[in-house]
Amino acid sequence: MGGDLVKTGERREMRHSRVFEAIEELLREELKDDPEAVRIAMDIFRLFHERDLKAVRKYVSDLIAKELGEADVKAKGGRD
Amino acid sequence: MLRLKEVEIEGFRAFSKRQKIDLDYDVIAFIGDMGTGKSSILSAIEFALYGTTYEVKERKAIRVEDLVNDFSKSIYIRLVMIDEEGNEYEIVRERKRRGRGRAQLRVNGNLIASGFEEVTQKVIELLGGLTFDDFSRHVLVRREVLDAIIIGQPMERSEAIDRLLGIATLEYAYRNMPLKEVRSVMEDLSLRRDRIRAVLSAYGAREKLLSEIEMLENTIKRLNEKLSRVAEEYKVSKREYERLRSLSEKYENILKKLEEINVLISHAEARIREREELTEISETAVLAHAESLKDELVSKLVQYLAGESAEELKKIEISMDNLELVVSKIKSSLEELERMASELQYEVLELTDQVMELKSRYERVRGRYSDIASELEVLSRLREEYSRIVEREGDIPDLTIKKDSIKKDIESLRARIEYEEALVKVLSQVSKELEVAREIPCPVCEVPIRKEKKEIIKTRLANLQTKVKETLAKIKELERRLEEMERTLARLRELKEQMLDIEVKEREAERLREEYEDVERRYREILEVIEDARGRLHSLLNFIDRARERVRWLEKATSVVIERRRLREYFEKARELKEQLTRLGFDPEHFKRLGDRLLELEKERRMLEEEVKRCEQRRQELLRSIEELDKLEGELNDLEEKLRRLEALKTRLEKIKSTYRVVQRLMRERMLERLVPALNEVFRRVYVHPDYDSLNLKVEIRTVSGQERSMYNLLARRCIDGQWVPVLNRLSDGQRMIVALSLVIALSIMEPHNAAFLLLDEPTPNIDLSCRKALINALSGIMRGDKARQLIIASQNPEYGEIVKQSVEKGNLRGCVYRLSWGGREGPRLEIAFRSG
Repeated sequence: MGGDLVKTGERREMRHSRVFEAIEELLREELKDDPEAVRIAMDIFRLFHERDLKAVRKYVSDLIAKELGEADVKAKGGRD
Repeated sequence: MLRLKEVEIEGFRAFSKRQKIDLDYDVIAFIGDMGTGKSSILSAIEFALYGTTYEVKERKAIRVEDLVNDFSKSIYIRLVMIDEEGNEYEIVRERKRRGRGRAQLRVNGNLIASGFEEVTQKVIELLGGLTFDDFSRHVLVRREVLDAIIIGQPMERSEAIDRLLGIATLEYAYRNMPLKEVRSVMEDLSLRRDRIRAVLSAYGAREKLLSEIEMLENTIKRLNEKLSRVAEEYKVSKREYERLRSLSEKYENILKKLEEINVLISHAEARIREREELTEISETAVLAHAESLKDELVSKLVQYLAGESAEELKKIEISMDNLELVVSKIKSSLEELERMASELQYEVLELTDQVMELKSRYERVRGRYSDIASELEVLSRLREEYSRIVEREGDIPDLTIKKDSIKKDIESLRARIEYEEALVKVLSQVSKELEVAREIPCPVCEVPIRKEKKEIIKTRLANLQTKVKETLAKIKELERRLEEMERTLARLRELKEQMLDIEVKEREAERLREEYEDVERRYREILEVIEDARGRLHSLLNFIDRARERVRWLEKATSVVIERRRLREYFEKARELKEQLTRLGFDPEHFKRLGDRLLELEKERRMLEEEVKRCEQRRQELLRSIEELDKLEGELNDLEEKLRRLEALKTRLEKIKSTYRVVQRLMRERMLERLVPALNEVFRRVYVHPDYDSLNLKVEIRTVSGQERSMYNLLARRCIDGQWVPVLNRLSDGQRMIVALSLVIALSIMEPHNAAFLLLDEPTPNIDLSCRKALINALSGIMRGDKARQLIIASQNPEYGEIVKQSVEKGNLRGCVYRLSWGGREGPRLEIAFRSG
């Protein structure tokens, strides 16, 4: 019985990975000059897929923080 | 692949009482009127699988607790599924109206998962990753999903198809890309950068600041040198000033004393001037006056029996040294005499009161005496009247005896007259009877009386009548006399009674006479005493007035001679103080000039110090400005670097955003390549009419709000002329509904999940009978290719019963038609209208 469950789980992964793989492939192709942009585009896409806008904003805030440094992150957080 | 086997429902939506429904068929139709629970069965399957429903999670029209039947306290749903190998999957979900629920998943009786979330996750895995969203789009097909494809604006339709294709996230990501966050931070940083630039421009050039600092340091050095010179001169002058200040204090003290003495002298001279008439008086004259006044007071005190005070005053020896004391003693002796005069005056007043009281008493006693004398006069007249009556009528006992004798005479005469009247009566009767008869019996003794005696009887009768008249006159006289005698006796008794008080009154009159004579004597004595006291009082008051005048003169004269003595002492003291000043050798002008110079030096020193301090402060400010300048320049560089990095990030995110759009278009094109053939296969089976034979779904690029966007365009080929026409503009509502249904069914068949069942909730409201039949036949035909699949349809249309019956018979399938009707509080009533296989 456990084998069946694993099998059904795999089917789900296959289905999801097929859509995602297609999108990833296209994103990679379109953004091939900028690997960092590919990574960000895929990360953000996954968060959007979960409809988690808060997490998306947090992800972008972290990106901003990384560019600014720790003190600026705090200042930005306080303003929000 | 999992098929539905059976479902048990209790307390869910229309179902209150627990009901078990057999679902182990290839095709099932639930037929019934509105509100009989058709949709509740499909929602119960959805709730069993995912613990929620489309109305709760997607539309948010109701809450989970609203799913509980109004006549139940909780939901109970048990769903059994079965796979190709015969394994049974049992899901049980229970939920109370309030509070969390309980859920379990068992496979062949073995517990695999428990709890709402865990069971839901396992169900998603079992159904090949079929999430709740996927289930709502591809398995449980509702009118809303179909409407979204064929009704509304082009963009909304495109989004609905994207959702069906599972690529709606790309549009969602494009729209919600949080670039605003980056722009907002960049704006903040730009503002800070601009502010720093403004501050830096306000500071000016660094060289200018350094030049000013050097100039300030030279100034400070020059000022410090000048400050040292001033400080040295101040030190020398201060030492000399301190020496002179100690002399100055002594000098000031002497001057102050001298000034006080001068004030005393002027006051003393003023006081002497005030006694103008006594200015030239000698001390000897004052002493003689005091001696004379003292002697007179001693004499007076002795006269008025104040021997002790007189002796005390007498002992005092008068001299210039004790003159003030003498005056004081004289004044107190005079005051003692004034007290005596007051006491004497009080005594006179008291005696006067006594005299007035005696006078009043004398008048009262004398009045009383006059009243009693008047009464005695009246009484003496009564006594004379009494004597006259006694003399005339006799005393009271004599009158009483006489009165009794007259009473007896009257009674005797009345008895006699009574007899005589009776005899007259008898004789009158006999005389009358003898007038008519010769002889009659005597009325008394009955002896015969003859007529011959008639004349005798008449004579005797006449005599008797005369005698009776005389007796009556005598009785009347006696009664008058008796009456007069009784009046006299009553008067005598009255007078005697009144005369009883006469002696008492006479004694009282005598006593009152003696009393008023005594009061009169005492009155005269006190009057004499008062006269004497008034004489003495007058004499004493005269003396006091004169003495008071003399004391006043003595006081003035004493003050003059004493002030003259003091004035001499003040002049002597002033002379001594002036000699002290001369010996001190202090020059106040020199001391003042030195003090002024010290103040000037102090002021100059302070000014120099202030100037040095101000220059130093300015120098420090400039040094801080240079430090601040360095810091701001560093911060400005840092900000500009950050802005450059953020600009790069923003550009990258914008590029990603536009890439999502590009990928969206490419994904749509790719997926449509697979979808369109399947769509046409379904459409041709369902749509049985000859006007349209093919569908096409294309992606077109359009410009919306200045931006290029890819959108879906659904086309149908018209058989008459072979033209592709837009479905939404040309086809009827029913035709469009068949197109939407074909699209959904094609996608459902294409999607690689494990749910081998398709649930249609009232999918064909505007579709004609032939198309409905074709739809069921088509789906049955499609499902014949995969034996595991089930079709469950819920509809108000009773024709579906017959359509399903014909379809399963034709296709050699297992089918069942349930007819639902309203069953009151216990929930829907289910009847099997048809069953096969």
